[in-house]
Amino acid sequence: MHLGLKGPITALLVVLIVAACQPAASSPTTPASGGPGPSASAATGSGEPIKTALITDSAGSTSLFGVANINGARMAVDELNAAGGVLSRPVELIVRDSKSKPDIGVQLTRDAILGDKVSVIFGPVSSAVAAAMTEVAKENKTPIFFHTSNTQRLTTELFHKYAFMVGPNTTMEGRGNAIAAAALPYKKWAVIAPDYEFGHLQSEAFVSKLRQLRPDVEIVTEQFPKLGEKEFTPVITSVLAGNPEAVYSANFAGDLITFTKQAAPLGFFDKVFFTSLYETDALQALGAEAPEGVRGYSRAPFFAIESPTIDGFVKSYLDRYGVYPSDWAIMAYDAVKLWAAGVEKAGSLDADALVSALEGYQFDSIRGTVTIRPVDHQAGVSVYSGTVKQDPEVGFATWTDIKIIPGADVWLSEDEVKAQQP
Amino acid sequence: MGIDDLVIQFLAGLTRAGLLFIVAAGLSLVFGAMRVINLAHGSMFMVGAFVASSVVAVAGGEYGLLPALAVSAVAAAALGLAIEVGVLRRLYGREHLLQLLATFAIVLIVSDLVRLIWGEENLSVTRPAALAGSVDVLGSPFPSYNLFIIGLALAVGGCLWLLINRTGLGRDIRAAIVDPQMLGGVGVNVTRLFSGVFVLGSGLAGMAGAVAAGSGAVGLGMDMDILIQAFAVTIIGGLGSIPGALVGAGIIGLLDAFGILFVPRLALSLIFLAMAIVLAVRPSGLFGLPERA
Repeated sequence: MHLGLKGPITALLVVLIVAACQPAASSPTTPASGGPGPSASAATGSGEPIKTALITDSAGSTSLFGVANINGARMAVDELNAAGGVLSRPVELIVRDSKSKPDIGVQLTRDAILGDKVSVIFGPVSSAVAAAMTEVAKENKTPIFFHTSNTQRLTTELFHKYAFMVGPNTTMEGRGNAIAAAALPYKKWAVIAPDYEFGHLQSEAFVSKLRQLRPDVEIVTEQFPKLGEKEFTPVITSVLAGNPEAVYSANFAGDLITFTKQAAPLGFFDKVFFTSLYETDALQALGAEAPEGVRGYSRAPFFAIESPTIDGFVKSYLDRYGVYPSDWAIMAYDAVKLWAAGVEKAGSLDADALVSALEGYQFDSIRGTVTIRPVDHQAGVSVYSGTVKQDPEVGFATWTDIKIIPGADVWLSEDEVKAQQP
Repeated sequence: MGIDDLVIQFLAGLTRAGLLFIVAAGLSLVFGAMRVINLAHGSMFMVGAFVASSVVAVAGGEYGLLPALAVSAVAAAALGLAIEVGVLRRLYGREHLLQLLATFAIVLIVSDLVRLIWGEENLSVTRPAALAGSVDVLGSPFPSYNLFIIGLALAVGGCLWLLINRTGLGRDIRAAIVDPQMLGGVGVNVTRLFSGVFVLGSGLAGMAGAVAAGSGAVGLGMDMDILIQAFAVTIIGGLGSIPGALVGAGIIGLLDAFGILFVPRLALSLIFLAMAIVLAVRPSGLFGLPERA
């Protein structure tokens, strides 16, 4: 009986294998054979979805950003599909939560590439997770697009040809903030940043650029509370004990909300000039408690962006989700659209073809037209800052007195990049 | 840096210590009486914080957080009762590993339930108007809310001391800490006593969660964060001892505050250093109970 079944089973397996290979083998050949027209290409399985994965952090103190990433990416994918898909194939978005843990990020990236066979990975919130994920993408030659995590190392020492960055990296952000800070009269600065990759790199970039522009500036204290800190009072009081005139902070999301609530009754905002990552989500969560007069900086604040597409985007986002799009929604949306544009230009899902298509590409992002620099695949996006002020029109605080520093003014020079790349 | 800066820093340290004490006291009490290492203690804290956010949303920010302290404590206590009766009661006398696994399972379940009910976004809870301002301390403003936390912690400590040392229930708890079998032998309903202790511990954690909601952002992950800190307190102070929780919380709060002031880069390691020293010198903590024979 066992012997009797062996033959049919083997035959079945062969049929299945052949059937499984068939579409993959035939679809590239059909257009190449001269192409009898759109009907033929539709017949060769254009319904097969292109799988993509968004691996981000949607729990913990950065959950605000992860949720926005998911909303932005979903909207981009739905728009692509409504417009006929990518390469006339529908796009499927797989969403996973790395829980801000590098080891989970690595595992999910590997599962998505090897198990789900995705064509592209969209990155996480945490730079620490991103640094781990990019290695997996490199090993498997899978394109990976970073939008929220922005450690500069992704474009320098950890750079590989399949990695792209659509947000300003830590150097651009830190330097951009330093240029803004250097224009202020303050000489005694303090620095507060979360104790992980992003916080250290960004504050280093800020301090070194500020020192270069203003040799008279003194850094009175640097504090690195842990990410997810719930009790900032000792940090705030010890910063104040150093009597700084101004404080630069790289705190964001839940940490910035906690910090702001604990700092206000300590008289912090009356005593020092303060600048931190007051972006849409944090301002919205703080509501009436948003401290007016502090200087916010961010990467894609909808109320500061001037571009042909921003108004339409804000409206459709608001219609769909009932909230204004945060920076993290806009950048995740841009990441998906950049990938799609690259694939269309390359005419295939081949990773190397995508890379060649995107190097030097002029991308019409929500933030305006930006160039993808070939040397490190960094998009030439701007760094935004403004003064926090309640805005009755949107119902929470936004910015006034907005300053936009173009990415090309603050990114590492090509020589600096090359010196740090492997 | 003047004496005023040191005083402010001292108060800042006491604020952290106050919150930690309320959480660690419950954890310690449960361990002392029941010998259960309750990993779900942080979950009660998180539930308390989220319940407080809902209470404030309904009752308004003016006073909302004050009734929320009670509502959160009751909600967490009810959850604690369900866990004790439904799960832990079946595991007394079994090996610790089983209790750890069971309470860790509860951590995961509660975390997912909170995510389902309140979502994944960080919430911000308004402080009651009376505590939203600040008090002048040697010329510097210091938040009234922080002084409230310190005062509340002292009140909780006082009440626990009275409960344990001056009431019949406290006598039973003290007896359970020494020998629950003998206590049962003399006619005390130990099962009910354990439920009561667990409910008390859970309620304290829930109330602490409501207090924390007024202090910072409410979000997922605050369960494990506070649990780790509460364990650090009990490692230094000794599991099972309320005075130990008080001293442990004080040491961690002040070490952290002055560490941040004088050696910012080493502040976090100072706490671990203190833990290592205590473990080396007194493995069961400063006030810890020895292993039950």
